[in-house]
Amino acid sequence: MRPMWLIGGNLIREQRWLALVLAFYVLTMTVFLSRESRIAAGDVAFLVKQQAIYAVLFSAMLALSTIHNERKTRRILAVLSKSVTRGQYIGGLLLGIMVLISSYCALVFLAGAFLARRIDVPVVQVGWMMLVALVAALLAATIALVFASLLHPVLATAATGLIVALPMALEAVLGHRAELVLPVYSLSMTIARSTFDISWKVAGPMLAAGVAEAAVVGMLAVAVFSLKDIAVAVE
Amino acid sequence: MAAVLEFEGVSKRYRSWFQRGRAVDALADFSLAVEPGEILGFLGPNGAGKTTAIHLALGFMRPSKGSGRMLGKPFGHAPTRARVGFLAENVALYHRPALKLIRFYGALNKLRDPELAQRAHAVLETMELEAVWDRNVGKFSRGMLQRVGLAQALVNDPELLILDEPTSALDPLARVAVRELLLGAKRAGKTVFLSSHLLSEIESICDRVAILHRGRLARMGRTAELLESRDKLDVTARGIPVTAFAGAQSLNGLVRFVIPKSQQRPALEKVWSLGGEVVSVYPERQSLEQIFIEFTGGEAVK
Repeated sequence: MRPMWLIGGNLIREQRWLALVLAFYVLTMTVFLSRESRIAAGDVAFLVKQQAIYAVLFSAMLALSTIHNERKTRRILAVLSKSVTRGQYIGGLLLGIMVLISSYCALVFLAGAFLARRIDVPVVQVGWMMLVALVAALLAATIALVFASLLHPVLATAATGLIVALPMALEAVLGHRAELVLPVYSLSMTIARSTFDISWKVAGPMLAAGVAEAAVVGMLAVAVFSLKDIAVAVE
Repeated sequence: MAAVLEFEGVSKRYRSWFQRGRAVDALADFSLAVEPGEILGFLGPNGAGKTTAIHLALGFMRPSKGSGRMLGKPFGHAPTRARVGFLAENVALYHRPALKLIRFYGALNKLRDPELAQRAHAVLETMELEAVWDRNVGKFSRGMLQRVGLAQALVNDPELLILDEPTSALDPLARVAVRELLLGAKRAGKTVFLSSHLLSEIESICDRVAILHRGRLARMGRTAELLESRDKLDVTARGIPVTAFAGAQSLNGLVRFVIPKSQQRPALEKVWSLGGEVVSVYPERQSLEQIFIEFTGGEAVK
C-alpha cells in the first residue's frame, strides 16, 4: 500500500498548481455569490453542478494524460525500476487522482453548504451531488486509465468518450437498466438535472453499480497496463 | 554459483500497429550470464539492443521469445527490484529537492527511517551533492542530474547495479569518482552490469566484456583475454637496425615490431642472426576500440 501512497502523493504534488487554481476559482465564486444580498437558488445550483461536472472531467483528463506524460518524459522508468508492481503503479495514480478530486469535491461541498444554508436548501443535497460526482469521477478515471495504458492520449480520449456514451446507445435495448451500465453519463445527468432533489432512491442503484464497476474496470486497467511495454528503446 | 543476471535465448521484436511489415528485431536469440561480484561491460553501437536488454531485465517490457532471470527470479519480479539499482540512459527524475527525491525512490524500495534517512544522506555525500540537498533537481545541470540519478540507484545499497551510460554527462573528475565507486562496489561483493560507450572506462574497470551487434552477442570474454591478440606478437629487440623488420619502431636503443604468430621462430632467428638480442615477446595488446570496431564491422565509426 505504501508505494501507492507514494505514487499518489507524487501525482498530487505534480498537479498542485491545477488544484490550487480550481480551489481559487471555487472560493472566488463563493465569495462573489455570498456578497449578494439575495442569493438566487439557481446560481448556487449552477455553481455546484458546474463544479461537480468539472470534477468528473478533471478526473478523466488527469487519468488520460498522466501515464502518457510519465512515459514521454521517461520518469516512469525510475519508478518502475523500484520494487513497485504495475498494479501498485496504476493504483497509486488512481489514488492520487481520487484524493485530488475528493479534496476538490469536499471544498465544493463546503462552499455549496455555506451558500445553501443562506437559501434554505438542505445541505445534505449538496452532499448528494458531490457524492454522485465522486463516484462518476472514480469510474471515469478507471475507464480512462484502461485506454491511457493502451493508446495515445487523443485516441484514448475518444475511446473513453465512446465508452462513457455507451449507455445512451444501450438505452434502446435495455431501457432504464442501461443507466446501470458504466454509469458515468447517467450519474452526470443526475447532477445536471438535479434541483437539489437527489435521494438514495434516485441515485442509489447507479452509485452502487458505479463503485462495483469501477472496481472491475480498475482491475482491467491493471491487467492491460501489466501487459504493456512501457519503455521503447531510445536507440 | 548462479548467475546474477541471465538472458536465455531472448528475442525482442518491436512491432508497429500501423506498419505491420516494419517490425524491428532489437534482440535475437540473445544469451548472457553475469556472474556474481563481477563488473561486466556491455558494449555495442547505437541500435545494437543494449537498452532493450536492460529494459527487459527490469521488466519494463516482455521478451517476444526466451526468458531471463535476475537475482534468481524471472524478469519483471517486482520484489527482486528492491535489491537492484538502475540508472537509465537519459536520466529523467521528478522536479523535487534532491534529498526528498532520493528519499522518495528509497521509500519505493521499501526503505524506512532511520535507515532511509541515513542512506539518502550517505549517497548524496558519495555523489558530492550534500551541499545542494535542498535544491530542486529541475535546476541542476545535466552532470549533476546524472549524479542524482546514480544516487537514487544506490540508495537501497543494491546487490546488482544496472547502469546505462552512467558517466556520459560527467566531467573527467566525476568520471574518475564513479569509476572508483564501481570498483568499491565490486570490492563489496556487488555485481555491476555497465553499458557504456566510453571504451577506456570499460577497459579499465570491467572484468568481462560483452559486445552486442544487431541484437546478437558478437563477442564475450575476459577483458584481458579480449585485448590480447590471438594471432600477433609484439617483439622488442636490441642491437638490430630498425629497417630489419617492416613497420618497426626505434625507441631508446630498442627496436619494437609486430609479427604474425606463425612467423615467431623465423623472426627471432633473424634477430639473432643479425647479432641482436630479443628483449621481450608478448601477445600484441589491442585497444578495446580496435576490438569493438572489428566485431561491429566498423558500423559505429560509419
